[in-house]
Amino acid sequence: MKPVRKRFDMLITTANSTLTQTFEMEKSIAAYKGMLFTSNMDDMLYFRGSARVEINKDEIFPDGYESKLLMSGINVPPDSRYFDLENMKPGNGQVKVDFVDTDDGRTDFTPYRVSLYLDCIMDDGK
Amino acid sequence: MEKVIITDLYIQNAGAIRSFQVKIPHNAICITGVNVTVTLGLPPIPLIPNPKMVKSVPLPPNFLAANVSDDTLPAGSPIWIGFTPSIFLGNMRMQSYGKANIFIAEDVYLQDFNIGQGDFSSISDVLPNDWSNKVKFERAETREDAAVTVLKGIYRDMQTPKSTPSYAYSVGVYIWYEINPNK
Repeated sequence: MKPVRKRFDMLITTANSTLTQTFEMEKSIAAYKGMLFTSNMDDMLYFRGSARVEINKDEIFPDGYESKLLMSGINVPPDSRYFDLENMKPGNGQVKVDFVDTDDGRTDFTPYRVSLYLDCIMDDGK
Repeated sequence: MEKVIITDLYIQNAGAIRSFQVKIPHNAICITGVNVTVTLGLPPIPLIPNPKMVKSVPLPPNFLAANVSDDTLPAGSPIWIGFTPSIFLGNMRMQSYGKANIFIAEDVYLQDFNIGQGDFSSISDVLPNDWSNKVKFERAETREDAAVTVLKGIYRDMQTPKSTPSYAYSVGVYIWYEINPNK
């Protein structure tokens, strides 16, 4: 068993839109330890983003869950930045994200990238 | 395993009071935490930091000589530490019908205007902001019994009709609970 960190990107090109993406994990992933959202434009993600997240068809974060609750500032030690998923089993290996961009008046929209990081445990014997 | 319920409260008027209930599913064992967030309403309302600067008490006259090596400051000059009050919007309380009664009370602020206080990592081009320097969101931990199945909440907006600027916004109340997977 060894720790690995996976990154998946979503590109938000239209204001006030919804983007749905499903990411497939390798069979060798044995568990998810944590989850983190970042962006190339953190202010966009912080003020505008919300996401519904499903792992193995189990809803972990419901509709409207604000992405800022899954972000960490630069003052947080890197190993502590992830939301704790308590070694969740990957099941079918699918992670589905419905990302919603909503203007709240504090930012002017420009296209931005949202990155989903998953802190995983890999079974290297598989 | 934990789940979360989100309740949005829309505040359109200064001084508004919203009473709400959150139904907890039957397979919940206990309420483990509460988060409160703020989102501004639309149409966008310009965000203007409160221009009033509250100044701290001036430092004692001999403080400069002892602590400041900058020769450009005349000895005895007071140093003012700028502090911009963060905009206070209101407070939220939640009540359980169990023994705990009111088990959480949270103040709600629009944005932290003093996030850079004491943070010397900033440079002139990149100033401290909520989205970069804020620490990780942590929920307020609770261990409230979920047998009651319904929680009552009240949100009280503390803006007054004379508050300038005033804001229309929504408050997101996140209730975390632990479930019994066998139910």
